[in-house]
Amino acid sequence: MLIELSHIQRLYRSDEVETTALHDIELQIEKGEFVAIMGPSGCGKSTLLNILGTIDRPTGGSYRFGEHELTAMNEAELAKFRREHLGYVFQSFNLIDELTIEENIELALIYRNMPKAERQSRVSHAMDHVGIAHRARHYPSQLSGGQQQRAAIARAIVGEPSLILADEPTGNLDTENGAQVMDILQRLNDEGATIIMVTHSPSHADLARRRIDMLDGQVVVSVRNAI
Amino acid sequence: MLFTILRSILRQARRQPLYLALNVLGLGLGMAVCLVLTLQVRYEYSFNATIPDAAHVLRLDSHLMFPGSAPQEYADVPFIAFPFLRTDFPQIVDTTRYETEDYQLHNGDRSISADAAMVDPSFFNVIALPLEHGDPRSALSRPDAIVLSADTAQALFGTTDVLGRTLTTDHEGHRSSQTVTGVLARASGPVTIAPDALTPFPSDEMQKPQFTRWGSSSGNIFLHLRSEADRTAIARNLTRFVIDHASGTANDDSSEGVHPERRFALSLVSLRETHFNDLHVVGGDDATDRSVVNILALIGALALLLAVLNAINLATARSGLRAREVAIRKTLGATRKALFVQFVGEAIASTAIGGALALALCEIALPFLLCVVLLTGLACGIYPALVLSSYQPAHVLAATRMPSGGRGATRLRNGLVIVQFAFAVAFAICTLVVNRQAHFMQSQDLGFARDGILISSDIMTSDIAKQRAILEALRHTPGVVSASLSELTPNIDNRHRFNVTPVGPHREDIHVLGDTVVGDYATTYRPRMLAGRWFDNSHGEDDSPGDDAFHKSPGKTWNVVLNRTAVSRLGFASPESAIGTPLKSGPVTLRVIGVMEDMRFVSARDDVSPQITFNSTAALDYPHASVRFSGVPENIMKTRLKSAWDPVFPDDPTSFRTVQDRMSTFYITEQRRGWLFSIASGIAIFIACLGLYGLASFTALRRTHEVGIRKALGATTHNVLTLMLGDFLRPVLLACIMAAFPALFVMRSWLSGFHQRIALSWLDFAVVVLVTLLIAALTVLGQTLRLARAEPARALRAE
Ligand SMILES: Nc1ncnc2c1ncn2[C@@H]1O[C@H](COP(=O)(O)OP(=O)(O)OP(=O)(O)O)[C@@H](O)[C@H]1O
Ligand SMILES: [Mg+2]
Repeated sequence: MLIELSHIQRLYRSDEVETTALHDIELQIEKGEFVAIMGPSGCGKSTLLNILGTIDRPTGGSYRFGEHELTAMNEAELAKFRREHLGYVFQSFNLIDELTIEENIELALIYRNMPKAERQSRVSHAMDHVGIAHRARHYPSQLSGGQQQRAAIARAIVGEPSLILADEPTGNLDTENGAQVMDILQRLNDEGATIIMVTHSPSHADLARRRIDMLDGQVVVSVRNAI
Repeated sequence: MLFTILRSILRQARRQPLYLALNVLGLGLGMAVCLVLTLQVRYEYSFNATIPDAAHVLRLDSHLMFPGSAPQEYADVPFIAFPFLRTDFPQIVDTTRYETEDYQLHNGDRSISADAAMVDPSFFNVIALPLEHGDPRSALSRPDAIVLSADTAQALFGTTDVLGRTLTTDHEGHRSSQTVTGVLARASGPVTIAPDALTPFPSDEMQKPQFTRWGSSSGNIFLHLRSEADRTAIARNLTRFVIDHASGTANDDSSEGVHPERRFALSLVSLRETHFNDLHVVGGDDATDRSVVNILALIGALALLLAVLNAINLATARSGLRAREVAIRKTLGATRKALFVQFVGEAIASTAIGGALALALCEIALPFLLCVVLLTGLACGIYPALVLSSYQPAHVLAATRMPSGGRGATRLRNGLVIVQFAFAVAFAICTLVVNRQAHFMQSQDLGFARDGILISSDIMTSDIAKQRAILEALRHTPGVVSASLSELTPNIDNRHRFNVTPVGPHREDIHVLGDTVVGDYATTYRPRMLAGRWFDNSHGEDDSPGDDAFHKSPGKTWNVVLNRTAVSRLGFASPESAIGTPLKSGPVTLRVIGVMEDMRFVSARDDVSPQITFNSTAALDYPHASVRFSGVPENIMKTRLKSAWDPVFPDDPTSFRTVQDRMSTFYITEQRRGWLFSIASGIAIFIACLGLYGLASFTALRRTHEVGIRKALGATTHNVLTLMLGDFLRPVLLACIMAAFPALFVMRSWLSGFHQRIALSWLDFAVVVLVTLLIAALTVLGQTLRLARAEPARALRAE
């Protein structure tokens, strides 16, 4: 078992209101799975993904990743965990405006102790993989949405992570670009990466091996797609 | 328009109070410093400006030159030159002599002591001081005339309308009745010629011997000329003038000898220049160091410049935040011009708030302030307004995040931070070096044990019995370890120089400074002996006769002690080799019995003169009494010494002063300069830090999202902290490097003006850089920490 969530809870407390974004989530994900998370807006999909990605902490429950209990780790250990095991794809791309595409992708390697030459070869390999090598020296604002999202995917995979998290990777894209992105994700999954993806598109969800439906902070259904 | 601007400022105050506060504080401080210093500088430059035609009123200064020492300029000249000036230089409109004297003025039972000036009747033709009452043409024509200053008239008569009233004057024991013929108006600006009273020279005054000899210093002579060209013409002929009138035979006491031009020179200085020029003139006006005034002006300009840079920096940083406002206004139909006017208007308005702050910090003329506010506002506003008003609405609205103004704007902001810190660091380096030098000058080895010595003012009698009496009285005062009399003391005011000739291959005369001491000089000053011995009265030849008898004892040999400089000037290889060697001074032979380390009685700016010390039990020439004391607090010792002094010299009260006290005038300029630099660098660093702080807070706002991304990609808090601190401190470090070289260069040339100086070291630079980086790091630390600690999920949501 790669991922094991039990009794995961996430409360948001502001001055007066208390929002429960996640209730008592129980979830297991095997190595090599491709999971799609669906559900209405505000049901807690992004929150769950953030907790899986350790950029948000649950207010209760436990999160095991392989051998590690992540809720017990401190900040620095989590950062190390992220750079070694995770790749992120965001709905709004989240590329840094001041850096070129190439530099943005390299960012995922920069916090590892890796020689410059290896970083470069990995970056160009990742760019080839998603087909944006010809845009390496451009800045994000000079690229189309689809190209930016492919760059973001290249950044997510350049570190060869064991888990790729994608929050609505096709949400801001047209059909064709969306299909291209799904294609890349499927290929990565075929190559052995575990992928967890949030999506609003049923057709994209059908491309995954398993589908999880959420409602009001809870997992309601978890079905395996027949492929 | 005005309404829009005010509303926009109010909204800023509500939504971004920090920005407005930083902006207004920086501008207010910059303007206040600038205004205060401008006023001060204007004051220093306006000396004598209220005297009509002051630029063409010139004072004749004299210069005395001795072999082996630097020429010295005196404001006083021998009056014997006076009649020849008019005849030799027809360009002169008029001239007057001017000699200040202490007068007692009595009107009935009211009496005051006044600094009166004896002048020629032509005085008002030369220096046209305005009169409140009286006619300048005739005011000084009667021999019993006296012109009073308004304050003196007020003090004596209770009113200034006193024409024709009589009063009694008392001058050098000579009483006479004089009639008031004029009252000077109060000067509306600073003047150096402000006597309490003016009176014509008494007819017998000029017969006094000091007025009929070259080589005496009598008083000032002022000339009134028509033009600068006349001044140049006269100045060129002053050497000729000296040769023509001051020559005489070698033993003609009233002349300057066969070659007067080698010993004596004249020069002209205008009344507009004396305030700066007289710093190095003996008997001149109270003077200010022009370089200090110019530094003040520079500091004022820089403070304002830094504040403006600060404002530009903050405004461009903030412009990203306002991009959406611009885009929306543009889609609603605002033209670029209208937006530009609005943004410049806002800059001027916030400068005006800063101006109000400046007004509170210093009282100042309002029109001047308005002018400064307007110019400063424009300077601050134009560039940011250009940037802001040029945003393309489609671009801005389409973008998901606020624009940072692009890499160009980032570079500009970094550039501004660099400039600000470069000035701050340059000032800080100067501050450190100047203060170190000032401290060094006060603590340097003077060649004698400076602590625990108290020194009297000079003893005005050559009566040997009195000199003996004071020495004995001081010696027996409880707490006194030893007492001595000597002609030279720290901060020498009385120089006696003569020529000596080494007996040997170099037969050239050396001009040396002479000192004669009596009593326990060696235990009082504790000079360090380099070779030989100090005087001992049991050796007959150790006791030389007094100055007057000295040259009347041809063929005699007297024992002397040299200082280190004299040893090297006289060409001896070492102090030891000088011992026992004879020197010639006129008909007398001097035998060197000891060599002492140079005792520094002069400023660190000056060389120590070669010096020969005699020991004498005869009367000394205007000596000072010095005592070494111990076991008694200084102020109690001073009182005890005073009570020992007063019975011996009941008419000549003195106050005993420490070495530090007597020499303090040497350091005042450096101390003041150090103080100025400290203030300037404090302000510069403060304003620069305001700028950096503002920049950091905007950057924190703008880069939160980026931090979220970096953290999601595995960056630790530590990674982010290092990155952000590095980004903030890189321009500061660059500024340090840029500022260091010019500052060290300037300081090196400044230090070269000192005979004794500190060595510049890389530590000066390192200390300043470290402190600056530390201050800068502390400034941005809060923002950076908050940024680095941001939770990634939350940071990613920030837009
Ligand atoms: N920082 C926060 N403070 C308070 N409430 C929050 C915060 N972040 C999320 N929430 C709340 O938690 C709930 C889940 O939010 P989440 O972003 O996970 O929804 P989502 O399923 O991703 O929706 P969408 O499909 O619109 O992206 C929502 O009700 C949201 O209002
Ligand atoms: Mg979401």
